[in-house]
Amino acid sequence: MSTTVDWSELPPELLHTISTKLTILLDYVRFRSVCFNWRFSAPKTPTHLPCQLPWLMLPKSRTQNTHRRGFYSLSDNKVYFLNLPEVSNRRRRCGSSHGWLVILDETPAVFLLNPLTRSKVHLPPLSKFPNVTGFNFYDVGREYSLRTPNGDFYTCSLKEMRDSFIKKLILSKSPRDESDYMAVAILNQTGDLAYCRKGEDCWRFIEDAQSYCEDVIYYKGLFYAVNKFGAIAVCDIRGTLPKVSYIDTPRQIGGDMQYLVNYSDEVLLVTRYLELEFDVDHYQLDIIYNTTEFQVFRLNLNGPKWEIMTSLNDKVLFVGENSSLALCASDFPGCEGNRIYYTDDYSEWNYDGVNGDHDLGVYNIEDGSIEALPCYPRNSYSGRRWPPPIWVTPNPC
Amino acid sequence: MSTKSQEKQLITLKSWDEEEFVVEESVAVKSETIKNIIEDCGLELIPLPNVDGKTLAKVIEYCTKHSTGSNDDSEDLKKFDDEFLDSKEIPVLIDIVLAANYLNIESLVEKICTKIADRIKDMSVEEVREAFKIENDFTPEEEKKIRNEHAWAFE
Repeated sequence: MSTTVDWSELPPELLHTISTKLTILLDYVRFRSVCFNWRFSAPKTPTHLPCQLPWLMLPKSRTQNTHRRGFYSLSDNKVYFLNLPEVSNRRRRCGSSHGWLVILDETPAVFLLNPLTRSKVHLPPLSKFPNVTGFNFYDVGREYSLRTPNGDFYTCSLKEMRDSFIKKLILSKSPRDESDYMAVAILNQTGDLAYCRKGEDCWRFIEDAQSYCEDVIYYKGLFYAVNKFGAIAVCDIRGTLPKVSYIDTPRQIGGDMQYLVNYSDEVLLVTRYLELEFDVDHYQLDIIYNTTEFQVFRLNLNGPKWEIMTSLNDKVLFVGENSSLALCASDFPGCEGNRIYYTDDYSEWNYDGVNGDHDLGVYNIEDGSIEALPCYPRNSYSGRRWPPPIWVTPNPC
Repeated sequence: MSTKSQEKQLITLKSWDEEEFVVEESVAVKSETIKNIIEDCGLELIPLPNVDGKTLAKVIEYCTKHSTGSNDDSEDLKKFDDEFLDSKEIPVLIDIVLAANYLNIESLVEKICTKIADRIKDMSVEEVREAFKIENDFTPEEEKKIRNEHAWAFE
């Protein structure tokens, strides 16, 4: 008599345990497609998955006129397609945080979109920033009225507000369901930081953090913002009024852009060096930025000071217009440690159709070399599309 | 009640296909189920109608190795666990995990579940069904719904 175990009858609690050991979203989705019992032993929305390796959201296809957008996966070395009418051509993303894109359009609306689930969450609109005094849809070309810090007034068009008002927007966590998320926006023109919390209907400035506008991250309940010299403003926006304290490190010299990244219990400073090229072609002057180098520092609170890191070991960083992210390379196939995966990060203007390559690639900390991303091989002459590629973490929650 | 002698208490475990295994009590009580039976009834011969002899032998092999007194995190034990599990095909792993679940040996259940997850990680849905001898019991409508939920994963 042979064993008469019916394998599809693994009891639900064992199937559930197995499903919780799966750490990659694709594996989990496949698990739930095997059969009826497997499907219902694991919840539709997994809550145990660790942060996934980001996908690279590719620009809209020039030739195809569909709403399908490609997302390149480093792990699987293939492009996945999602149907996303919500990110049509005229819309710009000014952030990618916890798997949610921050979408701006030629209207005041600011909304968050999860490309995997197509869920949408609205944030207070552009017209509700403290320095925006009015919005008049019929005043063509000057729809927004704004006030400068010293009281002068000026106007902005719909396109200008979409393209250059907000530099980057990050979230404390996914806004799904009832979570108590917070959002912080870095403003381009004045270097202000503005914030709002779930349920609020307007943005407020973090007054004492003005000029800490290179990058901002959420870390242990607080927002850390860095200025171009590497000094940090630590912002607590959980109470009635923001509270800001400072970490005054010695002035960092050099570098064109600064990013902050947190990994486990450390705060890292990533300095990006760019070189400028001018491309004159057919009477059109294109300005092309090229990243040449990165330096990474860890924060030593004794001092305080930034200490240069010669190796990230197994860590891998993702920087660009997204919320800066650090992961362990060994957790993901297709990804190598001690590297920085970077994308274009020039949020000021629409440069659709200009020449030159996107400024993206993989920087190797060990020897300072730069490799192309597999989906953007060198010399592919694809030109630059707007909006440029951006890292998005696939997040089913 | 305890004597000063080092005599180890022996327990006999009997599978449903009448195979008997004599093991030390300290090994047998790695199973919470057996531990409870011993504490409640003081039996020395414990019938296990849900486990066959071949599988019981393997479970006992695991429990024996894990009652040597050394730390569960030691290199040796980890090496043993990896070899013990990696060498077995999925049908065998399933037999063992069902037995370990019935016998309530939590550490073994966790480890096998992790191993199974590792194995299915790189398999397509079809390959999983084949390895586990599972029928696709979704209706065409359900299939369609599943594919649409995460269309990107199935293209």
